[in-house]
Amino acid sequence: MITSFIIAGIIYVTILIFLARRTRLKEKTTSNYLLAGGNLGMLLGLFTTAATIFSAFTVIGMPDFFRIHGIGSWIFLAVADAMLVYLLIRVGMVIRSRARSLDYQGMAGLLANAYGYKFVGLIAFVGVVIFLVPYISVQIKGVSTFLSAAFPEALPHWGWKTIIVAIMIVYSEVGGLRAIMYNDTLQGIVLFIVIWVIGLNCISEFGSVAGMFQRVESLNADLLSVPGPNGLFTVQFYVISAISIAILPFTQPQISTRIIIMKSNSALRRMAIGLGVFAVLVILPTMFMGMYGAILYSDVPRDEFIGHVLLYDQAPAIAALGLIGLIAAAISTSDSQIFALGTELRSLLSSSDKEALATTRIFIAVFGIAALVFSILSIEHLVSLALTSFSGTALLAPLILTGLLSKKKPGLLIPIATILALVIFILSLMNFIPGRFGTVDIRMILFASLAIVTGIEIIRLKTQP
Amino acid sequence: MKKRNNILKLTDLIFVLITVASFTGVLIPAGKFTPKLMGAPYTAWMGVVFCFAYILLAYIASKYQKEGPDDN
Repeated sequence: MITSFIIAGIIYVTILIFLARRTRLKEKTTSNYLLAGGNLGMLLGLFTTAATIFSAFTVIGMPDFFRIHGIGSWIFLAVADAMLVYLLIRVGMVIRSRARSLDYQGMAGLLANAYGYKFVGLIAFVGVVIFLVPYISVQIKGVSTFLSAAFPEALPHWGWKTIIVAIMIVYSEVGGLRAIMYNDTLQGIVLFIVIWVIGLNCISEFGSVAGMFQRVESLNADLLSVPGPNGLFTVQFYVISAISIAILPFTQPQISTRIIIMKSNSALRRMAIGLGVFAVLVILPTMFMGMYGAILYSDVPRDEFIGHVLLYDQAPAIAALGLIGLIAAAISTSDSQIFALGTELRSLLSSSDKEALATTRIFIAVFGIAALVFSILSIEHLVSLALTSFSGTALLAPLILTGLLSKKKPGLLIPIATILALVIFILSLMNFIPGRFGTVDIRMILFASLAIVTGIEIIRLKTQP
Repeated sequence: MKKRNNILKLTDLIFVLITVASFTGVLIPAGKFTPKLMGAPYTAWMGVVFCFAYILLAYIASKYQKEGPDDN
């Protein structure tokens, strides 16, 4: 496999250099470097958004999640993603139009203007930094897991992580958002093909889909229904994950930026529908991979299972392509996220464009290093880590949506409630306060409280002369 | 304009109904994996049906949602 991997690796790096050179800008401005000219077509928009959402978390995290928790994993991600598509149409189009009319440079800057206070933009910025860094580390951890499984003796986990972050920072520093989006498209196509080839290989091991599920039923029937063998999939879990995932396009800046820079609403419409179909088609083979693991590798550690399903049990060419696809996925997704943090920072800076961009580029590297450190220190499961990130940024939704959708200037009620919610959630993650009160998860309490506060603010704005 | 708004209200209502159903025994009956479809357990195939229902609903809404100067 090593020869196939080296060949595929050389081809991939050559394409990256080609893309970076092609998109290299003589003079970088906020518009062309951070926002790719604000003129994104349907196809590029679809692939870059899909690649930003589906990455190492999907390819490595989801098969393992299916293997351990069973079929309910489908509801957790695929159904929530389908909800996201509907909201993208109904709310995303309004937000896109509003943001473009207000000279969008980043969500934080937009909110500072919408509320009339710079600190509101800072809340959004700090919120996404705190909760995107763990998500970026998901990608880095995911791909280092995979590389360690492929080449156990070559490098320690932290060595692989450092190499990935270095490539990521150099690539985004050179090419800007358009280069990242081309890489997204490349990785989206490679990953889509590889994941289906592997998924179909997994089914062929048992003759058919029915044969596969029959084997699972005979070994552990709890995997075929909710709440799953470990009791994870409760209604509460689903509600929290659905809220956190369905509003991702508005709460995570790497996605909202892509929506806003779509060249037209009709392109956004087609992109959103394509994204829904893409989501179903990408998550489906991870179910097959998970069921394969539940039958053949039910008791082994995650790294070993991933090594088998993606590498050792596949033909060398597919394994090598998978390895490259996954590295590309991790790099492009993390790039997008780190870059989005840079864009958010830029939108809060009021110095000249040249100075602000120079500062932003330094911080893009700082965010990358922060994610690297977090990925080395964190021991949480990939999917749990991603869900924590989704839930954390979901707490920003009332602040963002009210700020962008309200025709009147909102007051400080929602910003203050958001700060409180973020602090409480972070304290619960650090175990300073309980994460559950009885059977109720603290995120449910925070979501409900923010919804009530938002309702009060909306009524106040409506009754205001 | 009125017809468009009514259709969008209807798609929103259906969205809420499907979402509520997503968290009940309609999609996630505890401990049950029958009836199967082509060997797939109930929650798996019904989950796929729900996904396409959302996408179809989004498609219908997208036909009637107009926002901004590039919409005709």
